[in-house]
Amino acid sequence: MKRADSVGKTHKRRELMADGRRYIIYYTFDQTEKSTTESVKNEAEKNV
Amino acid sequence: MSELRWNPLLGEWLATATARQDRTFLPPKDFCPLCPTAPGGFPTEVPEPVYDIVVFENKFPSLSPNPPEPAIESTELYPVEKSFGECEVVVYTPNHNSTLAAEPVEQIYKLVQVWTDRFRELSKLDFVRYVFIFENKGEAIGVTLHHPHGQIYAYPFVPPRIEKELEQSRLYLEKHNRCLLCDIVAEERRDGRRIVAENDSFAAYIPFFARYPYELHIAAKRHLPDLTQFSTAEQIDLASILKQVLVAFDKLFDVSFPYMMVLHQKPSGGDYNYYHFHIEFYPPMRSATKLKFLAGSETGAGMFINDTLAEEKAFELRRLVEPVIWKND
Repeated sequence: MKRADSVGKTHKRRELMADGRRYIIYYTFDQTEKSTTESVKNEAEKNV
Repeated sequence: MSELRWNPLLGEWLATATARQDRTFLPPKDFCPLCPTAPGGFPTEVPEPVYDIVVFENKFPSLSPNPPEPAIESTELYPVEKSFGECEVVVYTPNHNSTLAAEPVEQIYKLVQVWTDRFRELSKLDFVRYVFIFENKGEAIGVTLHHPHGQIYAYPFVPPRIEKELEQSRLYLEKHNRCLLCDIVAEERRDGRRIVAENDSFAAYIPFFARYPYELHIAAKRHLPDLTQFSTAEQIDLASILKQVLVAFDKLFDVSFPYMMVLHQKPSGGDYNYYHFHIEFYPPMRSATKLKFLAGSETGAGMFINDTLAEEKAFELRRLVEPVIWKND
C-alpha cells in the first residue's frame, strides 16, 4: 500500500491537561512527524 | 448544570448544559484555544506543537464521565438522569487558517485513522451506547471557533435519528433479507443521475430523498457497519472521496462551504451488524447568497421541503469533482 506508506504508522500519546482533570491525546505519524514539527513551530511563532 | 431530561411527548432525551453559555465565542486568531501554545503566548488547550492531529476532552461538555447531580428531581412524568458520556474535540491540524478541504489527502487519511481509534476506544466505555463523530463548519452553522476541528459525542443512549435508521434497516432486512443501505447505494449507482463521485470502495451522491439542496451522502459499497471494519484500501478510498467532495463544495460558490458532517455507524455493543456505515453532509446554503432555514414545517412537523431537485444539484457538484493526487502516486 504505497499510499498508506506515505503516512506511516500511527503513534499516540495520552496526557493530562493543565487543569489536571481532562485528557489530551497527541496523534503523530511516522512519515510526517519531522515536517509537522517545523511547520507548526513556524505557525506558533506567527501566532505570538 | 448538566443533566438529561426526558421528553415524554417525543419519547427522547435532551441534555441541558448551562456552562456552554460561557464558552469561547469567535476569538481572534491570536487567542484561538485550539492553536498550539506559542512560546511566551497565552496558554491554549494544546500545550505542545508536535502532533498531526490532537484530541482532548471538551472544556464545556454536555456529557461527562463524572457528571454532576441533576439540578432538579425526577418525577414519574419527567425522568431526569445524570448526563454520563464523553465530549471530545478533534483538532484536524495545527494550522489555524486551514480547513479539512484545504488539507492534503494524506491528512484526511490520518483523520480517518484517528476517528477509527476514538470510535474503538469510546465504544468500550461501559456508560457509552453510541459514538457520534461530527463536524460543524462555518458561522452559518453556528461554530464558535474557526480553527479546523470536529467533535465526538459518546452518548449513554442511541440517539433518536440513529434509532429510526436502525429500525428502518431492521424492518427492511426482515422483509427483503437484504441491507437497506446496500440497496440504496446499488440503486443510486444504477440510476447514476444523483452520483457526485465514486471510487472502488465508496459512492458519494445526493440522495433521492435529500432534505437540503446540497445534502450529500458517502456510503461504503461493501457492507461495513463501522470504521473498525475497514481495510487499509477502504480507509484510503474514504480519504480520497472526502477530499473530492470537500473540494467540490468549496468550488461551488467559490467560498469556504459551511456544512454539518456526521458519521453514522452502528451502536456500541449489541447485534447491530445489519447497520451500514455512511457519512451525511447537511450544508445550509441553497444558493450563493441564500441559506436554507429550518422553519415551521421542518422544525414543527418534521417534514422537510426541498426547493430543488437532487438530480440537478448532483450535476452541479459532479462537474466540479477533480482527481485526487497522493504524494506517492
